[in-house]
Amino acid sequence: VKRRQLLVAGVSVAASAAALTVAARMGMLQGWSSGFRRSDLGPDIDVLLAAAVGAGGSGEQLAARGRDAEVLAARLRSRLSLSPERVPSLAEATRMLGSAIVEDFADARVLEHAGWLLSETEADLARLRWLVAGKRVIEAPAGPVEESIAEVKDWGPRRTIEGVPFLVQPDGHYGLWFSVEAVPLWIEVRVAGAAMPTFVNSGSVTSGIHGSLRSIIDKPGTYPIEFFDPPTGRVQHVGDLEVVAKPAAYVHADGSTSAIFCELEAWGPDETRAGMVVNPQPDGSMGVWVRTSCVPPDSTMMFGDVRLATSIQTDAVTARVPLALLEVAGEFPIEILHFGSGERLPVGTLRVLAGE
Amino acid sequence: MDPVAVFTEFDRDIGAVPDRCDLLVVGAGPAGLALALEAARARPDWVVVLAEAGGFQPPATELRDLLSGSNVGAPYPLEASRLRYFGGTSGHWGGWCRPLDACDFLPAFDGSGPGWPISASEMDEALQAAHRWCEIPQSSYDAYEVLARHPGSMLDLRDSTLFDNSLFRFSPPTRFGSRYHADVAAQENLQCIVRATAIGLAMRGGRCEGVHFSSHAGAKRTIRASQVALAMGGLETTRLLLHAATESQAIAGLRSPALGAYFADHMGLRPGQVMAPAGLQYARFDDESGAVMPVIVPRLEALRDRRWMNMCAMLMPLPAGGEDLPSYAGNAGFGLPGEYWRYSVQMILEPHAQRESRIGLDSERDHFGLPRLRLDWRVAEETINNGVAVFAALASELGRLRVGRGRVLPTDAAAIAASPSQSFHHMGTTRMSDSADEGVVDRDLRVHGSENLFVVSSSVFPRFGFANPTLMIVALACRAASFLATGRRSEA
Repeated sequence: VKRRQLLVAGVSVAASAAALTVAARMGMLQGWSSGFRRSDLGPDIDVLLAAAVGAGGSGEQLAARGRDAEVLAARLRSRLSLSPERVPSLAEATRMLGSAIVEDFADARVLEHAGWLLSETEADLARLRWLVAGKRVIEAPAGPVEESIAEVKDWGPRRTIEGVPFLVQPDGHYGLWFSVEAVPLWIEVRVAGAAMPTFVNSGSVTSGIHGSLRSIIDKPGTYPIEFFDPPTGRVQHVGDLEVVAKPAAYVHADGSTSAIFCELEAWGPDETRAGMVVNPQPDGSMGVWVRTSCVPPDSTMMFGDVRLATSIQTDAVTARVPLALLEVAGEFPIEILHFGSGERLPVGTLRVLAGE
Repeated sequence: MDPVAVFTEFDRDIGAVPDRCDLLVVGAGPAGLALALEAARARPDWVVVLAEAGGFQPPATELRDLLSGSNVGAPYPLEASRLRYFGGTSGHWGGWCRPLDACDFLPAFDGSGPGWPISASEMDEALQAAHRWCEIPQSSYDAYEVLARHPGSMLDLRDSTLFDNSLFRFSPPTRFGSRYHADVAAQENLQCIVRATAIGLAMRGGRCEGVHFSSHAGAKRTIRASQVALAMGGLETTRLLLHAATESQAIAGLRSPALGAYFADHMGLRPGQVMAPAGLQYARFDDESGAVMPVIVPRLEALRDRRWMNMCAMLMPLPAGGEDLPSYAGNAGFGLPGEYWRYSVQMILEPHAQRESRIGLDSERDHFGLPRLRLDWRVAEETINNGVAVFAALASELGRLRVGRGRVLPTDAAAIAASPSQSFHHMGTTRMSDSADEGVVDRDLRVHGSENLFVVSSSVFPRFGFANPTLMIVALACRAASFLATGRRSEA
């Protein structure tokens, strides 16, 4: 079995674990043997664990709560009623684990991880995956090779404003996403040459900018985003993250300079008719957009005194004005309010004309 | 829209305003129009008058001032959401429709408030009529009929003991003013007076002799009626009754401690996320039975056993990206085969009825000399906590059913209660009860102690469910028309 074939087989594990041939499964484990410890639950469960790449980060955090691999393996062996004489096939293991997880939820054997409600069995599985495989299960050959690893259909964000975080995740890292075709489960995303935690789904890859590397958003410039394939050493340049210099600060009518907001470029629509919606949204509301940079995430667009459902992007803010707010003619101030400081960015006046 | 002879402009042709009638309906929104037309059709021997404060177009700026008032509780834009013109708020509604659930008629399972004094089944006939008025082609809310035609659009919750799927349906939306203008014009025993603002009730003992009206220019006239129905919306109706109560407390309903109390509105909550199969459509889409929107709802048994308030949940797809946990969805080893996606959960919560959440009268008066509204909206933290608890149960149930996982995000109930979202559904302030100590109107919508004064509005809701109220308001109007036309009363 050629290495390339093994990698392709590995990709399919997540989607259809039971479809692997025995040769492919064993070959894959041999290929990973430099970093992969056997779980002692049988080779098929080892394959299942190896394929559970997405559980790596969760497993690491869960593993920090204690219990070593032997204890976890023993718990799982007991939970699944395994014995040296009874080594399940991959399909059986998959079925048994699924049933055990369902029973956990039914019997309230659950725990919370970053808000997610998980069954104890799946948490043990994720922990064990981390303990036996970690994230560095495959060693790279010497010297990177520039080569396409996967077809990237889209990715983002590709641009931010100096000092403006994007896709901020609960642990503080900035998210990156990739829409891809046929990507190996074990690839790494590298940002400015540094490997970042990477999670591979069917059709998508997510990663982010973690730790001290987050300071790159404070320095205008372009930073390469790459896929790295450790087993082969291949590197694919996906694109560049552009950090553009911060625009000039907004100057208030009283001459004071905003410490929060940047110059307002444009906004709209600024006029409609009572009971009518310009730029209609799927829920029947009116979409209002404001083109400006550096609006902090903890901000909202205001329609008079009413907070609007607001979406904040790197260089734009959009919000939905419910039709119920547009039933009468009048002039309504549109502002962006930053909750943290209480500062308001005056956007303009939305004129609602009397009905015809 | 050109007014025809049956329409009278109060301020231009006050001589054509009748002195008296058999039934006077105040307010030409969905409730008033349905009530007036149904009653006029059922009783051709009657003269029915429908009085509307606005004209035929959305109100001009000066009329907007009439809706303003003071707000001392949670933020609430009093001027928003109300339309003072022929057709009322149907001029801007989005058409979301759904009857209250049977459980909404029962006392709250957590003991926080009473139910309706009537059962859900007593509304069945009127609800069928309401669907016709709102031009909704079907009145079935069975989500699985829709799921059969749109596989994969919903989670299959038939094996769940806690949750189920249900639907919202959609009116086109019917603009009652334009849709039923010709019907009013063709109804010979129905006269519609526009630009006539109700400024007081002519009470004598237990009877409401009529209603005092004024034009914006100051012309005044009292229309006397054998029966009077107030259908001015959930705020203005109560405001007029509160004003009447300052002049006469001859009837129990005007003395009721419930008058003005228990103001409530539906509120939204985003308690977390779920990881569930990709392609779910808990959003509006077209089905052969008409436009529908699936929602996840608690089962009656779960509401009762866990003492929950009613609510619904919609799943809204999130952009790609995010943390690591969802990335293992799709892995058969975790019991999640297939393609998965992350969704944000949007809930609509049934509010708890709270006596201290109330509308009253302000010391400032409007153009007509009526005291302005004073709103003290209170949202119970318990309502939000209840929503979070239900979502946590849903998160666990998704795992048990092998369809996904749920993530409960931190919720600051106190902060949300202090500044909640609004739906502009004004409910609860003239609530229905068999007792004047607990409510303002009886099960026939008659103000307690009165012989002939009725209220048709969402203000009569003693419990609120999570459904948008328009369909139920129109159903109440149809039911009231039947009672008024036949003179029969429901049995206690």
